[in-house]
Amino acid sequence: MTTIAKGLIQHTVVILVAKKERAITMEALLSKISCRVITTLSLYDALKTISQEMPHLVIADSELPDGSAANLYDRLEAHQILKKTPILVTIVKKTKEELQAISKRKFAGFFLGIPEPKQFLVKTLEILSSTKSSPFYLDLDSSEADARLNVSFSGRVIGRTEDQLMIRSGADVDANASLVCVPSDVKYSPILVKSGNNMKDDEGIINTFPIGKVAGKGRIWVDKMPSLKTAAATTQKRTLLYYDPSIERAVQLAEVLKGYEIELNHAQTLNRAAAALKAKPDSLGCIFLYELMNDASSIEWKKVYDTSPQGTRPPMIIGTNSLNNRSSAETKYIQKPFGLGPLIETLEACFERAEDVTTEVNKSGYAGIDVQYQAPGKLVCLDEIGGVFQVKFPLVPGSKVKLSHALFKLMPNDFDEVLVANIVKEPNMVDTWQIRFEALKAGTSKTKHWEKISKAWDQYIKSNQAPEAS
Amino acid sequence: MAWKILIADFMKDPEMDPFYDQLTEIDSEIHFTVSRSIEDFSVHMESTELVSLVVVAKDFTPEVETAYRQYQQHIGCLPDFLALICDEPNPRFMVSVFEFGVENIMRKDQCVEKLRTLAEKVKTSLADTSTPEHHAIKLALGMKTSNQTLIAEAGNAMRTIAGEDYRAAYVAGRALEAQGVYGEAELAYRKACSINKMFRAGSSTLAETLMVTGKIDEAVLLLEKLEKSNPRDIARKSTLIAAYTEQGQPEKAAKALAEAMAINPEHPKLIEAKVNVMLAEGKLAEAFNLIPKMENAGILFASRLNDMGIQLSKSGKAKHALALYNKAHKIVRTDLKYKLSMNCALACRRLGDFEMALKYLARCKKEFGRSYEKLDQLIIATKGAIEMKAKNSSEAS
Repeated sequence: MTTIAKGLIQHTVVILVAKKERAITMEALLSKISCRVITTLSLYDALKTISQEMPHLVIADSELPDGSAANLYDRLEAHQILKKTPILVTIVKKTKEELQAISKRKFAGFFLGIPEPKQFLVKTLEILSSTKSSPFYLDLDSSEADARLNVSFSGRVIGRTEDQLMIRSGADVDANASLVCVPSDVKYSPILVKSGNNMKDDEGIINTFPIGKVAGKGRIWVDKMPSLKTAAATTQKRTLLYYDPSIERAVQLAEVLKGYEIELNHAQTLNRAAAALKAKPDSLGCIFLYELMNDASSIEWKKVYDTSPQGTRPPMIIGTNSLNNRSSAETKYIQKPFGLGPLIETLEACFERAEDVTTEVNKSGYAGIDVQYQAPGKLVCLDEIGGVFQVKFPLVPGSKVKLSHALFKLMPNDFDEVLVANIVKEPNMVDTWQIRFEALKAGTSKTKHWEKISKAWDQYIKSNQAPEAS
Repeated sequence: MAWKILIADFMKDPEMDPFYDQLTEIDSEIHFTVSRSIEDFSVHMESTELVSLVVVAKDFTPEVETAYRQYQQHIGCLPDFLALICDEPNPRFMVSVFEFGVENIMRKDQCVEKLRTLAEKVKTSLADTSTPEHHAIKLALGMKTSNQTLIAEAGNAMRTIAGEDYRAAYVAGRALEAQGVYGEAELAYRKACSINKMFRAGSSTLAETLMVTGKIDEAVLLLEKLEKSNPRDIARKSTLIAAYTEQGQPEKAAKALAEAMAINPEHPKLIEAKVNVMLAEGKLAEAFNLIPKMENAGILFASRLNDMGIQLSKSGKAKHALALYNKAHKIVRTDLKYKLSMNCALACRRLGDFEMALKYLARCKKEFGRSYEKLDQLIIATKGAIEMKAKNSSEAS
């Protein structure tokens, strides 16, 4: 059974109170546990909001200016979809009538009187965690449905150098990702790319992949592509500023990198590294910090790095023990311990500059090849705004991907472009990431979306049920 | 079929014990086996179930080198099936294991999860009959059991996709080498290295194959280039010493030998290097004394001894040639033994000992795994010679 990682899903809570000041403490406490909070002051507003937002919890006062929590319960109970919404009631006055009305209905919980902050949080978290990610939840794990999923996004092969294949796309790729690149034009065969890096220019993101690891039938068209002569091949761009407190390690690394025609400038302290960066930023091809501690010198270093002129600022690689650091176009994390291959590949990618590549691509007149990146994944669940899937590499929040699954064929276009909202490492696996995605299209309500999903799900389950033996 | 992932822990690291206990639960189809001594390790290497190797080490010790080298000899260079457990390898260690294709390095505290991933990768790669790993294991099985059909099947499958993946080209090269087709093996290795310029194991093997096919100058250029990124690889230095010797550059060979001695005078490959220099200098007796100390000699040394034996045999010293071949047979790699048995048979024929020649030919067939045209012809001719000899002697008596 897959566990949804803590912090992956943001819960929506609707507060319904008679007086606005009653909501202030609750709002603050709920924000603390990263909930999205919407406060309403009447039953009418609450019902409108609930049907729009499909909250994971409603916290309501028992008596309201235009009704009561009992009325709210009855209205939601009568709704096919929203009846699953848990309601937590605060019985403020504790009168006989108030209690009688409440006791006849199945609320998720009660507070008798204004609750203490701790009591409030314990109860709220208990209710929120009783449903996996949301009360509106389709669990692929506990069904017999095939959870295999195909995750894809589009890109355009723009060229190659001696060492790197360049693909322009709308998303950063992770070094741990193995992606199949399927050209739109069937005359070109697919390729498998891995160990990706990213760089950015005014036009967007360029993903780079070491040519040596490009495999598949399409390798033939990759080999035939004209090779771009970027500045990365020149000596002055192959100088590495290396910070490492260990002299011995630096000496050994310098000896190794010499064989790859990379010159290493060692700085034993971050202050010396900062001074070297200040002195000649444009003479450096790349910076590699073997480690970056959380101390004063690193704050100073960051200041120097961030203030160095953007046009000449070299990309930076940071060695890390954490599994959660994610690389960006300017700062790349290399997870320790690393092998020589991944290190050289990352350095080679860092020596390239996006502007330089773009200029050379334009000069070459190469038309490019449109491709779709594809990777296998596992669909974990669907809910009112999207769902959760798992992949073997992290995706970048904000990027857009296409999801392909037999279930989604019943809802054409709905999952063609979903937004990566949040990512968290799967709690029980080192190399698996859970992705929270949003599939809600502009102008579509959550209830409509959920209705559609529920219907498609029933149809999908029916069509996948094995026929009874005759 | 169940597959074996071998964990070589020559340090007998007690910190690893709790992790080993957890490995049994990872996958029922993948068996993790821990080997704590080089003797035990060598026994596991012979297993036909062995597919993947993980070494636990802090530094590049001779045992670590032996482990990866034996894997390379038995199975090849499969980067996705190789790993190292080491919390903080220094750059020299990183570059040394990279020579064998090791890029996957894991921390001790994360090793159970990383090994789970490795097991998954092994399982899926071997289940897919189109992967280079699937055919590399098939080829290894063919080489271990002297099954030429398996060797040819793996080789043919990989030759068709050699242009698409450096690993496929490398496996094709190994299969061709095992079939004795060195010219074509050279082309396959060239392809592997042109696809992936950082494929060190492929480049080193290409250099050895170039020596066998007589392209000594090109081999020297390639080896010198590889020396720049790692001058501490003694096995490769030993090939370079042989290449310099072959090129007629004794000073360079002596310099390289001295460098290698300074790094590790006990390295087993240094004996091969010394023997090469002695043979070139004509110090045959000294060289012959050292030969029995060698082990797992590759194609390069085998072909050199082969050439020497042929020269001796042709110059009427067939007895010497036979002695040389028999010595060489004991120290060359298993997949090369059949060639020496064939040469022993040829030397016996020159000596007129056809019965003995027939025994060597039978050994050759067993080692190769099946018969082949030249072998069949020679068996028929030898049997004919025995019959003729018997007929002649009965007539004479």
